[in-house]
Amino acid sequence: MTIPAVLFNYSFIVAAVGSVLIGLVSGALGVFAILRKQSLLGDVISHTSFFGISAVFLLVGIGGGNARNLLPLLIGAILSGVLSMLVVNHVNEYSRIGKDTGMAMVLSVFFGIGAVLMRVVQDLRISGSAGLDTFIYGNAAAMTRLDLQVIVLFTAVAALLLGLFWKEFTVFTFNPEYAHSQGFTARYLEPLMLAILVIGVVIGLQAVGVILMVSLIVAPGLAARQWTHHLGRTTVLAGLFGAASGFTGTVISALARDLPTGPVIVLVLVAVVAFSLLFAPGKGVVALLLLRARQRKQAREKATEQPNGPGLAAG
Amino acid sequence: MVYALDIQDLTVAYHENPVLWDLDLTIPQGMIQGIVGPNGAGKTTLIKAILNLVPRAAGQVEILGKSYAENKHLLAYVPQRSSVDWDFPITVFNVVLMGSYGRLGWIRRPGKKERREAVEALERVGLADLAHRQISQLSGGQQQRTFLARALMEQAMVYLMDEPFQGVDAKTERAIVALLKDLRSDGKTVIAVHHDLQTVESYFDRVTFLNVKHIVSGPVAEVFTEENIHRTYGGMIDADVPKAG
Repeated sequence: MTIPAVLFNYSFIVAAVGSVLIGLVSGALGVFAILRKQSLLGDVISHTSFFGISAVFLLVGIGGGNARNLLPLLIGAILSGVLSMLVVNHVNEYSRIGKDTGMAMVLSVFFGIGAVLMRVVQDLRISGSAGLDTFIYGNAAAMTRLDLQVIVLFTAVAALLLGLFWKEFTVFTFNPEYAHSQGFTARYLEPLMLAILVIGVVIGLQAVGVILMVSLIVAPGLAARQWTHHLGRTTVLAGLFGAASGFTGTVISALARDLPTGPVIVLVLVAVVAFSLLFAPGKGVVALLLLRARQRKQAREKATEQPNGPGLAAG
Repeated sequence: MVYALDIQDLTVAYHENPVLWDLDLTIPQGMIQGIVGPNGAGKTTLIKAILNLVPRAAGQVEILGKSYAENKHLLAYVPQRSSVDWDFPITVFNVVLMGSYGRLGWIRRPGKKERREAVEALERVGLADLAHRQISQLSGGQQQRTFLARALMEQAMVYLMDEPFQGVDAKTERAIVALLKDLRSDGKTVIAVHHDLQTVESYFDRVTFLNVKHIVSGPVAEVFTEENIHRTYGGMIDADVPKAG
C-alpha cells in the first residue's frame, strides 16, 4: 500500500501538527473542566467567542490590516469568552434567572451578534472574509504556518500554567474550601482556572469550530477517566486521546477532500469514548457484565452447596 | 492564658437573613470542644466564618491571640465529608499530601519529607495499607479518616472539624476519639461540630450550645443539662434525647 501524496503536502503537515497540538491542549485542560462540572461553561465560551472573532475581523479589516491573522482573532475570542463569563456570573448573582437559563441566553445572544457581524464582514468584502466561516465548523486544512505559531504559543502557555500550578489546580478542583483554608484562595485560582478553560477552548476554534469545540474539551477527558483513577495519568491520557484524534481526523479529512476536519475529529473522538466506555478494565460495560456473570455463578454454586440456605429458610 | 479561639460580636448573614447573630464565644486551649444545635443553627457557618470562608457582616475572630491573617497556619480544617466528590480521580495518599500544601505555599511541590509525613499520618489513622486506593473505594469511615490524616499533616494548633462522626462505623468512631485525645494531650485544641446529643458526654470536654445566637458554653458536666438542651432546640427536640446532666 502506498501512502497518498496528499499526506506529504506541506499544508497537510501544518494542519496535522496543529491539530495534534490542539487535541493535546484541549484534551488535557478539559479534564479540569469535567471535574469542576464546567463542561457546559466550555460550550458557552466557545459559542460566545464567535462574537469576539467576528468583531476583531471587522475592526482589523476596516483598519486595512490582515484580518486573517490568528493571534488578534484569538485574543478577541478570549475577551468575549471572558466577557460572557462575567455576564453569566452577574446574572447568576443578582437576578432570579437560573444559571442554566442565563448561560443559554448569553450563549445564543453572543453567537447571534457574531453571526450578524460575520454577514457585515462578508458584505463589506473585507479581504479573507470567506475565512470567517471556517470558525463555525472548523477547517484545519486552512491552517497556515503563522496560525501554527500561534497554536504553539498557546500550547506553551497551557503547559506552563499546568506545570506551575498543578498542585493548586488539584486541591482547588477537589476541595475549594479546603484549598482556601490552605491559603489558595478563589480570588486567584478562579481566574487562573478560567484562563486554562478559555485557552483550551479558543486554541481549537479554527480547526474544530465554535459549535463543536466543546466536544474536544469534554470527550478526551471522559474517555481517559475510564482507564485510570490518577489525576496526572488522566490528564496525560486525555491529552494523548485528543492528539491522536486530531491527527486521525486531519488524515481522514485530507483523504476525503470534502469532509470538514472539525466534525471528523469529533466523530473520531466519539469512537474513542465509546470504546473506552465499553472496554475499559474495571469500569467498562463489558468488565461490569463479566463481573456480574461471575458473581451470579458464584451465588449459584453457593446455593447448590447449601440446599437449606437462607433463601429457603426465609420461605 | 490565650484562648484558642476568641470570637467577639460575630454576625454572619446570607441574603440579609442572619445565620449567626452577635456571637461572643471563647474556647480555651487544650480542650475537645463540641458545638451542638439544631439544623440551621449556624454550626457549619461558624466554622466557615472562623476560616474566613464566608463574609462576616460584623465582628472579629482571634486565633491564639492573633488575627486570622497572622495565625491561619495554626488552623487545620476538616470539612464535611459530603462536601467533595468522592469519585474524583485521586488516591488516598495524594489527598493526605494536600495537608502539606499550605506550608509549601504557591508553586513549590511536596518532596520526600512531605511524603514521609503523609505515610506517618496515614499510619496514625490506620489507613496505611489503603494509601494507593482510589478514594471512591473507601467506606464512609475511611473517607473521614483520610480527611483527618490530611489535617494531621498541617501540624496545626487548632483543629476545626465539621461533623467528624457523621455516618462512620464503630471502628472509625473509636479511632477518631483516640485521635482527639492524642491531640489534646499534645496541647492542641479540637473544635467539632456535632449533631448527636447522645454522645456529647462521652466525646467532649466542653460543649457550646448554638442556635443562631450563642446560648451557653462550658464544661460538659456543668452545661450539658436538659434545660440548656431545651433552650437551644426548643420544640424541635426528639423524644429520644437522653436525660442529661
